[in-house]
Amino acid sequence: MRAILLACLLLCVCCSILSAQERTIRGKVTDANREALIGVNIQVKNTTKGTVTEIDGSYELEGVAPTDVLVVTYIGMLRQELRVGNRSTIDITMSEDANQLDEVIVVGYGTTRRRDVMSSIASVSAEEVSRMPVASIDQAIQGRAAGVQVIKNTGAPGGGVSIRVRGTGSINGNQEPLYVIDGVPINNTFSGSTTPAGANFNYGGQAGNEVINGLAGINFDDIESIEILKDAASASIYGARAANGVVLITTKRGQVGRSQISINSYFGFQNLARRYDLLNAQQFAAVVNEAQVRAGALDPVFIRDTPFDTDWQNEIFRTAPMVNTSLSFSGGSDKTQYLVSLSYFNQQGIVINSGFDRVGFRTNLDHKISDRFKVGTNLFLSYSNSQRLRNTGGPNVQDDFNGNAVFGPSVIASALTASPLIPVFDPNTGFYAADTLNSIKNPVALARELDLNSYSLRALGNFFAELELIKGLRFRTNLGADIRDENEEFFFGETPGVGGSGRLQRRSFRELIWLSENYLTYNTKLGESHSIELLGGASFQKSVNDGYTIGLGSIIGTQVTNLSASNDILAPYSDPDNTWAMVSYFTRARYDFQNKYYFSGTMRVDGSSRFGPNRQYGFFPSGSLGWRVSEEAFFGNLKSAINELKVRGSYGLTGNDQIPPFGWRASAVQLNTNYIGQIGTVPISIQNEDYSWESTVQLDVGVDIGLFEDRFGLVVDYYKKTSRDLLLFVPLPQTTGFGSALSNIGSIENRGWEFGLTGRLIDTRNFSWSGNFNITFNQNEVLELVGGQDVTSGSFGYANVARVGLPISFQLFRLEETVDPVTGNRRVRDLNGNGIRDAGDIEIVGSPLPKHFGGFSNNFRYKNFDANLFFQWSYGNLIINNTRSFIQNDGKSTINRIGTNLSTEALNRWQREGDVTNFPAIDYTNNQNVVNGLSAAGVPTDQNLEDGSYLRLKNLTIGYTLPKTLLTKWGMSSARIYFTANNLLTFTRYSGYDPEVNHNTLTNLAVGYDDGTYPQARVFLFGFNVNL
Amino acid sequence: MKRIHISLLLLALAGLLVTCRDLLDVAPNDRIDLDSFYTSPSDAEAALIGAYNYTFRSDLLSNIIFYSNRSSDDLTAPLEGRQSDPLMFRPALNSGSGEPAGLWRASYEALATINLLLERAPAINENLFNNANPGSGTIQVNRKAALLGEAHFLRAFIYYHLVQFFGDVPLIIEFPKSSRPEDNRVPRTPQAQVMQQVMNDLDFATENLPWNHNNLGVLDADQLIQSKGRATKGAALLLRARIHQQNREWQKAIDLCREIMNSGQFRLVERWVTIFDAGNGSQNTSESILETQTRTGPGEFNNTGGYAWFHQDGRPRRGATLEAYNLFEGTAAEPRDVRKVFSMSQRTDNPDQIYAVKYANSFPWWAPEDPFNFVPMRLTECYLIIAEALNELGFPNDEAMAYINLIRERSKDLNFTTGPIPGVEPFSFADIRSQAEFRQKIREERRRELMFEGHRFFDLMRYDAMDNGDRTMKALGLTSPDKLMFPIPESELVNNPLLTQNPGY
Repeated sequence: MRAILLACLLLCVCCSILSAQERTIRGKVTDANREALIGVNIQVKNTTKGTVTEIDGSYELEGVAPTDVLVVTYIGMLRQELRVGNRSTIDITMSEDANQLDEVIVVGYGTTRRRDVMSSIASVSAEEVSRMPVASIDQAIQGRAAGVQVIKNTGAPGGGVSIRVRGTGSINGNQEPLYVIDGVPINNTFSGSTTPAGANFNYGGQAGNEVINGLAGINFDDIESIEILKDAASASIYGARAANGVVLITTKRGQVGRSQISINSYFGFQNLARRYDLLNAQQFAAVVNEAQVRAGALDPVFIRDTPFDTDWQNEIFRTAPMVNTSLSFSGGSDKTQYLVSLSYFNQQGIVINSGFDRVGFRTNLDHKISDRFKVGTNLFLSYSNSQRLRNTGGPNVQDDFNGNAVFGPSVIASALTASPLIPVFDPNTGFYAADTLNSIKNPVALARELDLNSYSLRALGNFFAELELIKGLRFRTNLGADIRDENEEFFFGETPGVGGSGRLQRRSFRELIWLSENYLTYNTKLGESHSIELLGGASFQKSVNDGYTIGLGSIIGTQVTNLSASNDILAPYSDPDNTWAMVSYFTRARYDFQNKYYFSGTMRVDGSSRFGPNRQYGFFPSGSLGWRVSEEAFFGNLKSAINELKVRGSYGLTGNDQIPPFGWRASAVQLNTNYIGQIGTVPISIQNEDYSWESTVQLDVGVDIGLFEDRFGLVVDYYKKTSRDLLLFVPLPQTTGFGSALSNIGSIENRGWEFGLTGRLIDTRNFSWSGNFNITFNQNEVLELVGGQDVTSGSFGYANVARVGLPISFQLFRLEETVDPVTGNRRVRDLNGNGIRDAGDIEIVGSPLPKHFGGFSNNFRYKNFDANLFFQWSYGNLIINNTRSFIQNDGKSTINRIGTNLSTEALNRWQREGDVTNFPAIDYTNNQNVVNGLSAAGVPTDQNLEDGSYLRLKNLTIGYTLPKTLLTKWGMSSARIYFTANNLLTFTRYSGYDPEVNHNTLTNLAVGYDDGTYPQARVFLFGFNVNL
Repeated sequence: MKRIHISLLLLALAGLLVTCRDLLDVAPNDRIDLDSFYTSPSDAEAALIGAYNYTFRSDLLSNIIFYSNRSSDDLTAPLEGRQSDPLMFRPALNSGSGEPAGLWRASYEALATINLLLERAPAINENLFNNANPGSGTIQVNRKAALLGEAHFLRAFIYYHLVQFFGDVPLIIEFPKSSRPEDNRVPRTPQAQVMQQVMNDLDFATENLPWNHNNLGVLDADQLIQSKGRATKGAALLLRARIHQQNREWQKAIDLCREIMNSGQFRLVERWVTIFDAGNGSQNTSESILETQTRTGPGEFNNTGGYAWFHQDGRPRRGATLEAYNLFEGTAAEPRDVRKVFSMSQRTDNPDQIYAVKYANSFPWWAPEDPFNFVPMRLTECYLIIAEALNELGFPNDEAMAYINLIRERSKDLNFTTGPIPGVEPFSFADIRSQAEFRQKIREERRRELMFEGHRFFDLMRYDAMDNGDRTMKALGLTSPDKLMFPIPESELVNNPLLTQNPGY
């Protein structure tokens, strides 16, 4: 009976098929505002038949049967499935996929939906920042992710950046997060900054501590989303590299549908926002004359004429252009999708003879071999050139003949201190004018005649293949590489007015990081209620690198600028090895019950060549729990107001493997230990079999709240991050032959609160206003050091200290409010009252770390106009403004102090006995370096300790989207033009060029220094985004 | 299709299971991994060179020479020195003072280098050594034994001096196995035991070292600097003789010195000044038994800092005592003894101030390379030791007298730069009537001859031990024997609680 029925049914179906005419259907696809949508993909389900909409949103599909189902997809819109039925015209209205909770976000080795995230992950989507141009990824993150502090170390184009995820947790290890681009962990540091702590080699580049940003080579327009894994549960899948947080970067991919061409372009100019007020020629002459009298000059008027009045800041700073263009083509069929892009970026620096440019090519391909097997590739190639300045601190830093690097005077510090009496060019000779009064080099000559170019060729890419073995079980293999070839060329020839014999230095760095990863993912649902995801895999990665620095001296002329220039090889040259390899196994299990209760556990085992044999493999587990309270039945009617209430917690262990690569090995070097003309070697370290990663235990508790269908969102996190086993130098009995050994011993804690608020305040057809706000309070505390002894940063004059019970701090002498009314010298405050300046007068004066930082953004849209105001701030951090000390007669470099220009504060200087002022006498005779009672000369004081708090209008953008009617006529699918200003307004009490500064990035402890640092520019740009 | 899938699955699983254990064995290429070092003769030779560099560098050898003079009645404070000199106030010396700590550190750094070599080198096949210079035409005989002998000598040389300055010191003859401070805490070893180790090392060195290093396969021109710059049987014998002399084992000291004198390897130079007159191109004289070989060039061994003790800004900076000055015959106007004129100069404006100028040179002290050799061991010392020992064994001894007069003879220099110097009269037993008197004369002659060469503090201590005297104490401005020894550095006491401090600190 049943069989007969079935047969009848089948027959009916067959009949209907036979009777139904295959026909052509037409229609138009629009959005909720009835605007036509171009490039919408319309596919007949389970077939390869499909089409995409035209420029007016219309489509036509032939040979469709009434039983067919159309699948309509478009980026940012909800997917729809429609049964064709008897219709021949099907108009489709698509609605926006506004539900944030269904937003897919990238996690380590997979993706998940926002609502299922039970750990602390900050996301920055491309959409959020695509409307405002940024030159680099770090700028996109800055101020937008709670708990993530981004400090632009320098304003130099392509210059370095420091990113701290939830505070500073290391002293001798690297603190930068791990960057993973499309699944490939990369080396985010510029090679010049990878000087291992405790190494015998100075690997700094010519520009001193202002290193290049390793991420600057990546085209921002290629980026789809950025996720920052902050807590242990999300990050520990990256085990020994996750303690500083993990930044996952996902690039754009082609979408099924019509080919898209998009052009993003902007151009504009940059200038310096603030200057120091310096003495003009007349004022300067008066100061010099006064000092000459004090020094016993016979002629009381040493300088009579001031024929020149050079404003050196004017001479070295400029208004500089900046251009960015990127062109991308994307699209694809059901089987193959592609995205290719080409980008060009050129930023001239606001200091003459500096700049950065980059050209980049990307190819992202996806191909489905079968329904269960797909392959793809991501490939990015870039070539960049950073034209840099030698910028390392003071104006009088002389060439270091014995050092590994030939550092020179800082251009900016020289411009501040150079005499205004000297013209740029000597009118008599036509050459650069040189000062006879002091040793400050002609700043324009320093900038123009010292060439320092860093070229970087980079290939970053991977191949992947994914096979669905059985339903829900997928195997993925990922083979990737990060290849770099960097060359730094430094040259300066004999230049009249600059002096010195010609010098040249070449630094080369090559690296291949390869990655081989294989993992299995299994997703399944047991019944309706139980969702399970299992992940397991292995990862092998190795960096093979080589770099060297070599210098030549005694170069004649300026014609020969390569290694043929002379045979005077400056020793020693360095060739450090930073090779490392990792063997890792990881697994993760996620389970949820009815989307209400969530459990997950992650484990990673990381073996690293960096670790000693006793601890070669580290084990990094973590777990998280989550409860979506809003899904409970008892929540009931509340749900109409609170659509989402999630409570979550995580706990786990991560590691920091960024420690000197061969630190555990007993090794010997040839350390200038020759004898009788033969090469000698000496041991430099004792084997440390326990040498290992620094580990971080982190607790995170958070609440996610969504109100009124996610109109308002609130995310609150409390974290406590204890970093242990920090590598510190432990003193050894000298009888071993060694003074100290690096040992895993210290501990630092960071704990804090993060708040993130988002809201669509007004959302109407014509006008909308949305905003977001985030703030982070981080408390840093040093818990344990070797024997409780302070660790101080070693650089000269720098006064950073790690002391148990305090955050990373500054310790300084305190200055008396006024100079000694009798001698006119600055005095330190005699804190211990013993009448002399000694260690007892040094005190902790505060911390370079902020009390809180964050950002807030307002987005407005009125009809086709849009506007964005993005503010970002840091509060409560101190800066030592060493730049200012150069123009404050600080007496640090007495020999070269004579005749240097000063701040206009000098107009208020001490001149005769009894003057009460805070600016000391200008005295060219008094050797202030001699410790004399309470003299403040030559020691770090709070003279230039300043409040580094600031609030900055980081971005102001006004845009206009061209109306559809016009676009259709022009054959475009969308177009927008905009104007942007970056760093337009800065509210700060900081007196220097720029409060966003961190000069000394080579030493973790030495933060908060402005040391002749290249300031950030104010940027004004015009741009457009066009999609064809 | 299904088959493909299965094979892909197998491949996938294989990929997962592949263990890349070897991947983690990454050896650095910018430094020498000690695990795989010392496998070839060249490794061992390079390590030995490093050991020489560490032993002879200014932190160690120059400081030994300087501190010994400075801890005596020969040198005074810097005359126009800018550098502070806490050692001049021995009473003010404390456990935080940098000088003893520096000597301690440099000594143990060098010892670690030597210990490592002595641990590893014996395992290298000795035949490899003898073929180390194929084609050089020289067959090296027992180079491995000689190399070990050199290392043993260096260890003995350092421990000998450590004991002189610090008394009991930790005796460490192994390279550290652990980098944990707690595994490296060792107490001080009684000095008798340390000296026993020194003697053992020297016995080995004497047995295995050649008289010269002419067979190293180097150019003929380099044979001399190899032989003078490296430890030889002569150096080992002389250090042993010094120890026997200190222990008043006179006959043994005599025998060893005779062995050196009869070896035919060394002879006294005619003109005394040529021993030190490196500024005029004179170095590695026939009299020199061990001489540090400085040379210019990147990474080369130079004596920067060594001479800085005596010179600053191109001027002599050390003052000699009036007592030392007056010990010599003659005056500035009428010189009698070239050793006086060459070693010291009297200020014309202030005759009480005497400069120590024995190491005067034409190079400024800050020159990056200082091509001047130090001569820590020379043949004259053998004559002095024998003379002293013979006198102790019986009076009068004509041989002893002959040796002293041989030395006095060289006070004459008819070709001295400032004019002929007639020299002093020989001694005779007509004037010297007792053993004690001759002993005193020998000691004075020794002081004159070896002035500023790093012997005086050790000699004073030795004389005090012989005579039950307190001359060292007085010379150092001390009121008790406390502080005769250097303090154990403060940081060492902190890092190694097993150490005890010397009296007085």
